[in-house]
Amino acid sequence: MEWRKENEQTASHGTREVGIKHFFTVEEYEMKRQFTCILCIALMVFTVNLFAAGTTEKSTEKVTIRYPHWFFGHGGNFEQWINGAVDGFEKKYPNVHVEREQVPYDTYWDKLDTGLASGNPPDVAAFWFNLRKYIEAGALMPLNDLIDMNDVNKNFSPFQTKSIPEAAPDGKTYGLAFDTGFYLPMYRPSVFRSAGIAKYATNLDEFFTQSQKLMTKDRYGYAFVTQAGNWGEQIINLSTWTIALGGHWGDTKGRPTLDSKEVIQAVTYLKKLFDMGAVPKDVAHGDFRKMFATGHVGTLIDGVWVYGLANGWDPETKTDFATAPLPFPTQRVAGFYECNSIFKACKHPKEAAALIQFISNDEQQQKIAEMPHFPARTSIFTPALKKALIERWPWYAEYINHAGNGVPMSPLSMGGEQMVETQKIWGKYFDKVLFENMDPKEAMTVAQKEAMALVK
Amino acid sequence: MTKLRTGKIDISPYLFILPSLLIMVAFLIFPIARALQLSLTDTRLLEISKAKFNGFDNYRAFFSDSSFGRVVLATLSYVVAGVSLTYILGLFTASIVNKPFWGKGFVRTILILPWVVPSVVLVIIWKWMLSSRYGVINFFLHEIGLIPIDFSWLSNPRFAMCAIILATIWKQYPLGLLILLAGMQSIPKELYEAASVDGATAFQKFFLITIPGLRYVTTVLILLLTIWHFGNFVIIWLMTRGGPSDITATFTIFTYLTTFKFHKLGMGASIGTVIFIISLLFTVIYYILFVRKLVRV
Repeated sequence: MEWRKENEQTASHGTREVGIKHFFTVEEYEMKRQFTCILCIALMVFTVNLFAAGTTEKSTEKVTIRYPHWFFGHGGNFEQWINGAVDGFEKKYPNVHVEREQVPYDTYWDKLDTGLASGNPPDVAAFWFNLRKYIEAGALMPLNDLIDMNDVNKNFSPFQTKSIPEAAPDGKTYGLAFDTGFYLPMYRPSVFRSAGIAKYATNLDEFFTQSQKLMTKDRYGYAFVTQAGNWGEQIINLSTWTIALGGHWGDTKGRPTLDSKEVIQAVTYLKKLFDMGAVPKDVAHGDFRKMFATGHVGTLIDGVWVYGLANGWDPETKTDFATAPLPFPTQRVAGFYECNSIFKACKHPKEAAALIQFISNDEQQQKIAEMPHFPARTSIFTPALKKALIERWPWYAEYINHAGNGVPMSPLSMGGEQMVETQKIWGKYFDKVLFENMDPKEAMTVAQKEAMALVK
Repeated sequence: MTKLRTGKIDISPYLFILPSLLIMVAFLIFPIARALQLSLTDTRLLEISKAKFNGFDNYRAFFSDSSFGRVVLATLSYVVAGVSLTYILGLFTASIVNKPFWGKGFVRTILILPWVVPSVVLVIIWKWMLSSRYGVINFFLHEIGLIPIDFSWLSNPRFAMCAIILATIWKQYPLGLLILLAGMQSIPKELYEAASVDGATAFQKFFLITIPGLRYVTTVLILLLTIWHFGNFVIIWLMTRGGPSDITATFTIFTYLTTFKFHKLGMGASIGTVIFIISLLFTVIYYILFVRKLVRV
């Protein structure tokens, strides 16, 4: 009571300590105050250290380049190749550390986009026909002053020397290709023999007959993406057929041409194969490539990497694999490039440029060819290497034949974001043709109208 | 100077709730306000710094989009069918498990299992079962002559949404089971005994005692299920990505496509705002029509 009375008398001073002293003895109050002070100081020290950690690179530490790629963690030859390439680079440049970020392909672009939007992009990343979107957003730096352009112009595929500069409104080079791809017919000779087919189709009528002959209870004649809503992958099949028929889905001014004769023909032919029952339903590339490897799909029009994938599913495909020329009115082969680019936010552009040049140098590009995959540096195809590759894989010859004349499967002049929306529109109306039996010409006419509304 | 205990203003309660308030502002109020702000601009995902105010252009573009009708229909059918069927199945299984029988605990555990299955795994399972090439559901339905053997659920415009709703009900009915079971167990047994004495049938007991006794938990459950269904993205995206031809593209799918595929952050924010307003309106109307009455009673 005496203590309380004493504190009440001092209450008129109006200090906070008086209020607290109503609950505790003086000793308890002092102890708690000291403890609170120590805790606050500890928290402050911890917080300062937390924010200070990693803010600056010491001059004696390595330079770090962040490099996400779907090849890391892909498994098989792709992962082996890229890890080997990066190991070789780090050995050559011991002051540079490459932070390998493993990101699955399906989520690669989302992660890249959100990283960029949040101001935290990597230093180097891989692109393909979406390169233009990032150039237009001002996210990438031109490489013309960072890489050896003489080497590039002399030794690389036309995808590098023509397509990549065409993707940029200013005509500069924003990416250095590390691989290219072409879509060609492939089949297993044993499957063809079992179906009584002596020779691969040389025109479309023969292709339809061939597809029918290949069909059995457990096997389909052909396959393309029939998974509803998967327009991102459907575009590959649609482009392949449209280009081979002599057309394209976009013109040189960046406008869509979804109502062109060749697009309507491509949609009509694919619908015919679908209605015949010659193609499996609800499949994407991953599904039908495996079905092809295990003999449940007779033929595909796909890329060279299918060989390596097929070996994993059925080792007999190592010797039971063949390619053929396109059974179309033209031999225009749809193709693409994959390139490495440097983000503008990269603090070490010279080191980043050294990395991407190393990945695309002679040695690494030859390793790509020996995977087998298809390199961007076409100068590595010396007569000796060609001979060695074709002796090992006779089917590879068809891909080498097209090394210099692939047609980019996306219209290069089309704006980056417009391209994606146009693909979605095309896919939506292709679904209507396949699953709602909409007339192909009517569907593509409506699709063209919607796609033209995107043109600025 | 403000005093803690003495004087007219006592700020200590506010100091205690300040940390929670700060978290709510940071993770709830600020994102909603920012989304509202973004919805009035032409912001692109990769060029956020170049955003310009464009008023209600995004909303106009959304409402006049050619897929708008399909998106609204897809969302309504998914929510209405999903919520009602989930409730009915939850009620049915809760009624079974509410009765005493040997092995009840085991059966209850098995019935709740779908709820703990991650959505991604659930989609894989259901895609296998519904596969047009080797699906067990197709096999059984073909054996009884209902469908052709290669029937494709996920690419059929009439059945794609049915397939998604089936998978969703399988995932969500355990929630209904648990909540309704708890509600059933709180209904006094004396009511059933009195009804038995009066000669009521099982049917009458169910509709005149059980259903009215569950009205409190039913209002909460319906609200939770509706909000969940409205915002569900994972199951729909993984099963059909909104296809075929946008038939299963609900508001959330459309928002994702617009924001992350087409990079129209401003328009995506406007769709998100529309979803938010619809959810809010639904909650308010639901509260006025159902919850307030119960509270008064």
